[in-house]
Order: sequence, then structure tokens, then C-alpha cells
Amino acid sequence: MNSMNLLCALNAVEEQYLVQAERRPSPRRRVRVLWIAAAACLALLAGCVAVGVAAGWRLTSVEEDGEEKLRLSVETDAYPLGEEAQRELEARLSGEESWELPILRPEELEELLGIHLLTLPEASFESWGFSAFRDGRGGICVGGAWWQQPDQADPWVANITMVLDTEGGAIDLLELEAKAERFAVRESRYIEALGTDVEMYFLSSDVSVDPLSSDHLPETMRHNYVTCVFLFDQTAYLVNFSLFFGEEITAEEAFQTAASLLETMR
Amino acid sequence: MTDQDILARLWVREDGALDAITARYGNYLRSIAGNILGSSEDAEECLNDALFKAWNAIPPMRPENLRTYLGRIIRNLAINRLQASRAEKRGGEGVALLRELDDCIPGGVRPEAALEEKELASALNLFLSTLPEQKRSLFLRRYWFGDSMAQIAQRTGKSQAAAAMALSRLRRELKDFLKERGYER
Repeated sequence: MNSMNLLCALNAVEEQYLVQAERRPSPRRRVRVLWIAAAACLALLAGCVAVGVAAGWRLTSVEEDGEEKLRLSVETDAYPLGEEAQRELEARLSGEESWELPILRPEELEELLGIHLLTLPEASFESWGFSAFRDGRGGICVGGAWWQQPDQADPWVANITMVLDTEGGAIDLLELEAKAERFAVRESRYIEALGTDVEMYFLSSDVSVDPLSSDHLPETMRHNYVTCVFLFDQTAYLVNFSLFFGEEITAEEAFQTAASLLETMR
Repeated sequence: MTDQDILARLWVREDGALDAITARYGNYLRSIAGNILGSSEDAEECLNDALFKAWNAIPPMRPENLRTYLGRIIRNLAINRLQASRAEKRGGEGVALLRELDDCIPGGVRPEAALEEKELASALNLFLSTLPEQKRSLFLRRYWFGDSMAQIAQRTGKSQAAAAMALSRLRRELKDFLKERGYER
């Protein structure tokens, strides 16, 4: 058998599949996705404000170069990168230590790096995420939260959580990326400090059943954690992506998706 | 003019029936052949050959779906022409399609596992039946209609990278599917 055999054999594909393939994506569906994405952005904004206020975020007015600007700050120093973790991270980034890390769970990452990976409590997740858009035919939840240390020399920590639930429960990568792109456009200002000269390192990934989704999503739903470290302006930034797919994906695929998302944000 | 009108004119051997086909489906048929062969001249020749075949086949044939019936004819003709032109290192998207589909063929040498094209077609249909419509259509846009990545991206509203990634996953799934059923290179 060779590829020509395959190409020829495809000619006998069932009629109905060809008819389906000739259909243009429904404009109604696109409009629906746009509405959902817009609603998700609004919910995200509300969620970020709620989470931010709870976490001690403050929006203050500052004067820079004669212009009055708003600055989002966090009145807490609860999340500095621990000295030991900083040394370990630097050693890895400088190549002194191998990057072949064991697969880590988020809590193990937190311990390693001495930081907290912000995750959304189930209550807030439910209230401004999934239930808000579940309409009996499945829905979408796009959630996330970020915070920034008052001093930008300190690490940023970001957690981006996306949950999509379609009618069949299966998640399509294309759908995910399309929605994530819209999501990222809205939120790009939070990430813009990453700039354009960013080195990206894959830190770890994990695939597991997500406890938050277990009540709502199909059993096959898997939670793929991808944690990446970015180097920019001699500062390490850590971003933890939590991606939900309808099926298990490899760490490499999860990483590529994360890279693609970050590329969009940049 | 509807498909039924065109079929009726073919059945009574009416002059102008082929012109009617060209007017209704010419661009569609040229695009299938053109995508595979990468040459508008070759595509035009394929179109003429396809019209000739349709003229000879109808009657007695009365296809339920004239569009896909003609599409299959011209795709077959284009693939035949592609086979002939491969030796001359020609061919448009078709060459890329062959290279990509090569990924789907499990390795190893098992001559006894070689199967007839008809059986392979059944296996492919079975594989396609397991896919959700969106993925199946994506696969067919690429490997049946020969759409380029740019065309697929435009059609689906996705990025080319996203489409390529999805197709890569589908090829891997097809490879595993064929391997399970004993298909070997």
C-alpha cells in the first residue's frame, strides 16, 4: 500500500460525507460563537474583578511622564519566588541542570517554585463560568485570572483556564483555538509586558481528570496542565495553562497549543 | 438549470447538455483537478475528459447527486494524470497530498497484508464514520478536494497552523486505525 492507493481509495468515500464537506460553516453558528465569546469576555472581566478584589487588587491612578495612568496593583507580597526555587530555576535556565523534569502536578510545582498557581475556586467558577453559558445544548466557559506584583521585576503568575463543553462533549482543537484566540485578544493587555523577545521553556505538563469539571463534563474530559517559563528582560515569568480537551493529548501537543496561544497574545 | 434538467438532456442526447454541465459545475470540477494537478491546462483537459466520460455513462447511469458524481470522475482522472506526471516531477497540491498521506501508512513489511483498493476504501469509510463531522470534512477538504491549507483556513475561519495541526492528528489517527487492521506499507 502506498499514499497513491490511499488517495485513490478515498474516491469511494460515502456520498453524504462529501455533501457535508461541501457545506460552508454555518454563519449562524459563527454568530453564535461570537456571541458566546463576547459573553465569555464580559464574564471573564467580571470574574477577574471579583477575584481581584478578593485577592487585594487595587486600581490606582498614577502620574507618569505628565500623564495620568491607571495601574493595577496587588497589595500583597504573598507570592514571591522563593530563593531556593529561584536558584534552581536559574540553574535550569542557564543549562547547568537538565530540563528533563519529572511530570509535576500543580501542587508539586508550587512547592518547587515557592509560588502559588492561582486557580479559581469552584464557587466562582460555577457562578461566572460554566453555568452562565450552559443553555441545555452545552456551552462554553472561558475563565482565568492574573495578577501582577507591584514591582514588575518580580515574577508574574498567570493561570489561564478554558473549559469548553460542546453538544457531544467532545472538544475540537480547532474550536478551542478559535475561541482561545478571541479570548486572548481581549486579554492581551495583561500579557503585553512579555514583549516580543521572549524565550520560552517548557517546564512540565500533566494530564489528569479535573476535579472542577467532574460534576459537569463527560468522564472522558481530561485536564491538561502545561506550565511554561518565559525569560524576558532577565526576568522569569511563569505561566500555567490549564487546557481542557475531549481526549488525552500528549505533553508535546499541549505545549504546542500553549505556545500557539502565547504567540497570539504576543 | 437543475441537475434533473441536465440529466434529462443527457438522457435524450441533447446537444448542449455538456455546456450546461460546464456552466453549472465547470468551476467546481476545474478546482478539484487544478488542486490535485497544479496546472490549469491539465485541469481543463481533465474537465473535457470528465465531460466525455459523463456523456458516455449517462445513460444508462442516473446519478442521484450529479455534483459529487462528476466530482468523483474528474478526481479519478486527475489522480491518473498525477500518477503519470509524478515521474516528471510535476503535480500541484497532489504531490503534497501524497507526501502527507504517506504518514498514514504503517511501517513494516507484510506483503500478505496488502489489500484490495475496495477493501481499503471500506476501511477509509469506516474510519471517516468514526470522526465528528467537522473533522471528517476537514480531512476530505484536504484529501478529497485537494484544498490548500490557505483555502482550508479561509473556509473554516481558522489559522493555517491550526488546520495543519488538526490534519496532522487525523493522519496519525488514520495510521493507527489502518495499522490495527493489518495495513502495511
